Amino acid sequence: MKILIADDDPTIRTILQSALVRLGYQVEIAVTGDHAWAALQAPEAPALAILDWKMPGMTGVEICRRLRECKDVPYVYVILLTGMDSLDDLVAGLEAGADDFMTKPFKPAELKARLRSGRRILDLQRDLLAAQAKLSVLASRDALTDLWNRRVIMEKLDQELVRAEREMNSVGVVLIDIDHFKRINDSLGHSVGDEVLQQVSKRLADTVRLYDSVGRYGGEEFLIVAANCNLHETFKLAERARQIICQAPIMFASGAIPVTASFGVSVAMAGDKPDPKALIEAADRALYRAKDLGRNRVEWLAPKGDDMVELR
Amino acid sequence: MEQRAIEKEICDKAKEWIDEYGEDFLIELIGDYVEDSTARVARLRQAAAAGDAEALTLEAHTLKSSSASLGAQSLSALAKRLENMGRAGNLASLADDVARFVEQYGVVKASLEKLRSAPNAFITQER
Repeated sequence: MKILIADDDPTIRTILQSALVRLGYQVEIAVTGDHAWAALQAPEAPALAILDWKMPGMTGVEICRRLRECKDVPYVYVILLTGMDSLDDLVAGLEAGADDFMTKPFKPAELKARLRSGRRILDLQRDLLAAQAKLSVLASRDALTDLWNRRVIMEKLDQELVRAEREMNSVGVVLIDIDHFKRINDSLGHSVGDEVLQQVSKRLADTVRLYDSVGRYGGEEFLIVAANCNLHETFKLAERARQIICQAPIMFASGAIPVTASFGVSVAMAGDKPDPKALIEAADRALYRAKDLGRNRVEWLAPKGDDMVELR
Repeated sequence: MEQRAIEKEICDKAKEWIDEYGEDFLIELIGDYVEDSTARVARLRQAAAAGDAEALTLEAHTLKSSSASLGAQSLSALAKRLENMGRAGNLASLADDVARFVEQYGVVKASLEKLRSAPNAFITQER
């Protein structure tokens, strides 16, 4: 672990450095407040800083205050160094966001103990961030298919519509339903059904562009949000996905099964008010039309429910 | 404060540092302290002569804690007195205190240099 020492007094720097090196820490040295601030902004900045209160340039307290104003950066644990007689300083320093205090001159044992409690906090924080990152993946992905779950794909649709309105772009949505999925499940069992869902998901994810999003919308239903796509482009995307799903059978442990899917397309045109519900409803009706017309095909409808007359 | 008492203070602290970090560390620490403090004491005198309360406070503040780190408690106490006077803007009656501080620093510095050149002899003599 790297620790920053910031003090303009070489006596204190020598004591601290010697102690920290002996305890196995990497040490960075700053002799003014401005140096210290720069060191804390650098990539791979120290996670723990021992800052003198009074230094040329920024004081330790100012650095503290500015550190605490920065959100979304790794937490820096700050130990402030002060003179021997300053309760007021102590209060002001803690209010500025210091984690701990050490009064000069200090004994090696005290330094050791304070570093230990700093590490404890930093370790806890690291564990917490890791758990949070893991949870956020768990909470946004569909467990079976690893596509976005319904909540997240709908959020992405909302975000995309808002952005499209601002940038005067269109947004395409494609609703996909695997044909005769119930029959597969009933005749071959749920584990084959799951296998089909996973492999269809993979084919969809491989088909879309990087800036499109694919989510599992329901049981055997999927939703693609196609950023910046007009009807023609969205249709082409859906058609490509249709072909990739039906061109080779889905393989599973004890055999293979041909699978097709039906596709309903709708598009929010540049200048439309964002209305995710109407858009999904139109795609859903287009999907039912694709089913009625024989499945394994792509159909489309405008959000208002009219047939869209645009080139395919 | 007489030299004997000052050497006693410094010796007690030196033993602590040697026990914790060894003799080489103590020698390095004394070098850093003497080099930095000699410059600071000069700046402190200038600040006092020029009536610059802020500069005087800053130098006295640092000398207070660095001197204490080497065990020079009585010098540290004098520095604290100067710091407080500087902070109060009370420079008029300062000349005597500055002179006392400078003289005491001279004794501390001489003791530290003696300690640095022969730590064992210094400590044994104190015992």
